[in-house]
Amino acid sequence: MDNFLEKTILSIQNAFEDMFYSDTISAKKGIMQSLDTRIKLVSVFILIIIVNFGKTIPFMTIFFIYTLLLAYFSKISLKAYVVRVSAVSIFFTGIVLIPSLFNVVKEGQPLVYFTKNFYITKEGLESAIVFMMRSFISLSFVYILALSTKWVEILKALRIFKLPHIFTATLEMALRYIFLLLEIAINMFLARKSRNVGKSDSSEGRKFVASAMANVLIKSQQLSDDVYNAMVSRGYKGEYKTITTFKITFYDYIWIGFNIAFLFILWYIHL
Amino acid sequence: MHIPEGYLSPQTCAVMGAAMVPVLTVAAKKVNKSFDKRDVPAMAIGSAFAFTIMMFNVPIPGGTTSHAIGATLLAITLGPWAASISLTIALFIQALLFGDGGILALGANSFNIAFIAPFVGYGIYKLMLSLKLNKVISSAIGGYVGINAAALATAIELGLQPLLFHTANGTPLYFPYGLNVAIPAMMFAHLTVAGIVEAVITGLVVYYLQKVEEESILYKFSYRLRGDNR
Repeated sequence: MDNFLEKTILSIQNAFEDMFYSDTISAKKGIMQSLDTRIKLVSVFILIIIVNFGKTIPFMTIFFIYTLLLAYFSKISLKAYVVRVSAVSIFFTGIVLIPSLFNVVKEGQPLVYFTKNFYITKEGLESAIVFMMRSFISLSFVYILALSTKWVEILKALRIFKLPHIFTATLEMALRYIFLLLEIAINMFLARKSRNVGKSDSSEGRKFVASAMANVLIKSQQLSDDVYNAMVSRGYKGEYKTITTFKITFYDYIWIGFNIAFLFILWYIHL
Repeated sequence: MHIPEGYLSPQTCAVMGAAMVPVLTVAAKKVNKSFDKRDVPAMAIGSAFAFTIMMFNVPIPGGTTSHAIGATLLAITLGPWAASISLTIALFIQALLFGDGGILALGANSFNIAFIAPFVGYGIYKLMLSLKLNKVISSAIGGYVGINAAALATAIELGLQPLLFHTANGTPLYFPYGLNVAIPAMMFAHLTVAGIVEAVITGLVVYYLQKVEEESILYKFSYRLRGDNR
């Protein structure tokens, strides 16, 4: 019954790993790394919208190859990338979609018979494949963006969308404190795990999780007071200024030009 | 609970995103009016708190685990408007940096988890308090109803997809199951398991804070935000 401890420790560990991995990849020299963060953010957003309007297998296949190439040329390990993105888009989605393959959900042309009145339909299979590929490609773009860019930069780049100040300021601060609170949390869970002898029942586990949450809440309360005092002592008067040094270069124009040409060809050949 | 990318049509995502704009605009106004300088770090840390506790695995009878979203808890602590902003930011970081949920689906996800859940949960909590129930029970019931309301909204958004978006011969383009499948499936899981987990955890957190006499944390912000002088 202590597996909730391990699961939580592991998922927090993964969050740290993700950040570390992103720092490593974003320091390499690749296609995505050489682009301006604002351009990257906007183009990824537009590409995801276009992919989500896609309806056919050939269209999805082209974008599938596109994301693989993009990951490859951005120096991202293809194995780690495919495993990570497939977890939700292929495995989870695949399980959700199993019933939709059969004629009981939607009638269609029979493809594989189980019994006379229970078979996999051609339409069901096709739309399931499009569905999974669409999910895979959309997640890929986000994953490639998050890996090839320093996270702080991504959040800074969001300012071009002119969001209210309360969001951008809170967002940038939140990211930093997430890792602090995660560390407090992982220490609590590790401490609990190391003191675990024998079996504890699940109600005891729930009590522990609730008290851990309350403890994180108390700590974050103290933390926010400390942070505020630290900010005031550094001259904070209610305005939150940051220095941005984004610069659009030659590579960005090539990237924009390439994508416009790519989308134009897709549109022209009616995929 | 998070809707992944590709399950909803871009049109639905646009509508849900548009629905979140007025919510967040009002929230930003309310928060700007009632928060002072001191509270920007508090909201940031509120988001970090929401993000952190969503990672906690909660053991459930039978040996598996589930998650709590803590929306009602955050709404009781920060007030529903500030909770809405904090939760949206937590979801945003999950979607953009960790790839959980989707960027297009963010509008829908934040509508369900950052708007419906904290507001319904908080409303029910206040209602239960006015019925003279104690805070632990009230917050538990608030948590239960809040997460179920969010699950219902999620199921409706998903279930509408095959009705609205399909090819000429009726093959669904996005989420393939209609309301008659999506609502029972989602609600069964949430009414029986996820809702109870949320209720137990929310109630226990409030109980624990009362026990260690740190209860004031729960109300420090929200009393001022609501204009109560306590």
